[in-house]
Amino acid sequence: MTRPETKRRQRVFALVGNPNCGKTTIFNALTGLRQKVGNYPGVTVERKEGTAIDQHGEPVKVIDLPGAYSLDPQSPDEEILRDVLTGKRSDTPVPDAVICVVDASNAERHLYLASQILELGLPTILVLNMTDVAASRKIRLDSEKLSESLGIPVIAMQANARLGLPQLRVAMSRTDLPSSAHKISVDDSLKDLVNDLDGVKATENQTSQDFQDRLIAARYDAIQELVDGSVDRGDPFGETTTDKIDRVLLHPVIGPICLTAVLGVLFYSIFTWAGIPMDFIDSSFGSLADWVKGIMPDGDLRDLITDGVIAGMGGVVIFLPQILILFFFIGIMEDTGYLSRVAFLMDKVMARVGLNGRAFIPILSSYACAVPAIMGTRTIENPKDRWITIMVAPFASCSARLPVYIMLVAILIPGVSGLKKAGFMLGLYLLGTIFIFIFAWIFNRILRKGERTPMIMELPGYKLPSLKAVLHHMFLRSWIFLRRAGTIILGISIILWAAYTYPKSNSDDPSVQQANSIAGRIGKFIEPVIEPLGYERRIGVAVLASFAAREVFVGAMRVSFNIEETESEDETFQLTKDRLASAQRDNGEPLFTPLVCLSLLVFYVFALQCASTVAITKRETNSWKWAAFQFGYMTALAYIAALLVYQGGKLMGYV
Amino acid sequence: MESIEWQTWAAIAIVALTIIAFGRNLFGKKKPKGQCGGGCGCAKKPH
Repeated sequence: MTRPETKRRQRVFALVGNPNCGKTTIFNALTGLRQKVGNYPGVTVERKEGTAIDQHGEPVKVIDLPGAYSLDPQSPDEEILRDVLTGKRSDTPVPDAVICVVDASNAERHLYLASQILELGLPTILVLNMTDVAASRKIRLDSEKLSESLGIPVIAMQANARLGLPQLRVAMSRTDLPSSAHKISVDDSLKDLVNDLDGVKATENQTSQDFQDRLIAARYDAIQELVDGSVDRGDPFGETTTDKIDRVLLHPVIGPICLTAVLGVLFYSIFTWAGIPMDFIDSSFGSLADWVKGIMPDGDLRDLITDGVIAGMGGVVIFLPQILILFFFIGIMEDTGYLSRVAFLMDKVMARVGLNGRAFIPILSSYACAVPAIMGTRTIENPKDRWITIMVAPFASCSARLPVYIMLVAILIPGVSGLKKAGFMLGLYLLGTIFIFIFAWIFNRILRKGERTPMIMELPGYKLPSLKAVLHHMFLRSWIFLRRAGTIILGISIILWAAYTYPKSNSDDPSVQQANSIAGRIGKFIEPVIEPLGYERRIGVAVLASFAAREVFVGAMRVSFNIEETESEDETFQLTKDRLASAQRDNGEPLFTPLVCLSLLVFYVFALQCASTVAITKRETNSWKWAAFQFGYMTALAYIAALLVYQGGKLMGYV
Repeated sequence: MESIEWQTWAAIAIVALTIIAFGRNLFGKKKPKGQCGGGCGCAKKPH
């Protein structure tokens, strides 16, 4: 262990504990907005650091380490916890002291990790959090007695109400913070095994496993002894409020009905409430672009600012309402303890394709937008489950696909009733959903050879959500999105603008300029590749243009086919639909035949045409490689599927 | 006409800077384990 020597080094506290022990609430209470969030290099485990002010007004660094059940790592999160505490990570300072958080209502289990941490010999403060939940279960912990037994400060806390926070600050200010003298007692037979580990038998796995099992049992015995002397249980078998609520929410029939109602409210909010601020953002950026056009002379810089920078920024900010709403609901569900129940209820269904129950909410959210959904996969603890969910979530038909579907379905089946069109659209949504499950199953087979690790999760007691914590989480996530994804999307928008602007043609006709541009030339270049799908150059250019955002397709088609926008949106839609329906190939044959429309629809169901999703996948997987893989395999699938539809249809005699 | 020319140069410069930034991000020399290289644990700028 090496500690960088400085004149007056800021003290570093590591905040550790089991998942759902209220660790993050304590971190937020201690550090407020003085936080930095990132990833540990090379892994997707979130790294949170903040500055707290101790009782003497001195700043101290607090590192919120990932939640873990023990120091014997079973996941990258637990590995990071062990490595930081033992000073093995060069990117993180060795902590001077540890704040170990324990759920007071579940002390026996949480003390397992605590007992391992105490044995590391670092000065430690033990926090008994959620004393209110413990009290509701008639569990009373004697913190003084526990402190006496362990030889370290023990603080009773109710972090969501900030009760016990001053006492924690006082303890953090102590320069003589002790290490625990408590050791688990090892019986004689175990001592023999410890000795064996130095000898011949230590090489035998069986002995090692036996040693592990007996050591775990000895640790639990020691904890029980410790707890027996400090915990007073009123009625250990009495039914708690959590049990009563769970009898309804986890009921095999009523449970799924309640879940459907909750999800109904969630998606109604995302689709309808978010629409109002999204329209406002859209019109605000439009007004800003008009204002810039009004004050700047005509020229490339003005076009770059309006069509590249402002449009690019607008394309990022427009996702904010959906992200805020989704994270508000996820925050409420997580804080109340309901999210764990959702995962529990859905685990059986998701397990059929090898997915985790926690993947359900992100995948469902993908039908609104893949960007917040991929960000929402952070609730999935298992990295493989999380990776699979990120990779398959964009197959869900998001709201950006809707304008493309509406336009193509209107051309494909004109004149039929709205109900029939809706039925057709439902088929497209179903197609995407089927492929979520197919690819989740395939990735599961490849990554885990079909074996599924059972989901071990704790169902925490229900509690009232802390609005402050939920809002904090919501704004933090939104800021991360704006800062990280925003810069990438802005860059992509600028480059795309250049690709459609240069080299310049002398014509004022936008379709001529488009054909002359780099993007247009690429469209012509790839014509032989897209021809087997039934497309020609103008469609190819529009498909290329929509690689940054699929909703651009309809607008790009208008440019490609020289269709002017009118005052009314409905009129523009009708005009675009009619002009596209009557468009012809160079040889005079109709262009948008039913097969071409179907081929395009299938292409748009599968293709990942969204720069924001690519950017957020890069951010969440911490790797451009996975973002490129996702883009590549989805585009390849889209191409093959469109090819099969067009060529297969032709073979069967359709046009 | 003159204003169009300076605007074109400015736009091309911005596009070029964006491409360079992307290129550096994608293909640039990576610091060890993605840190600043100073080994200070800040994961940002060197001291």
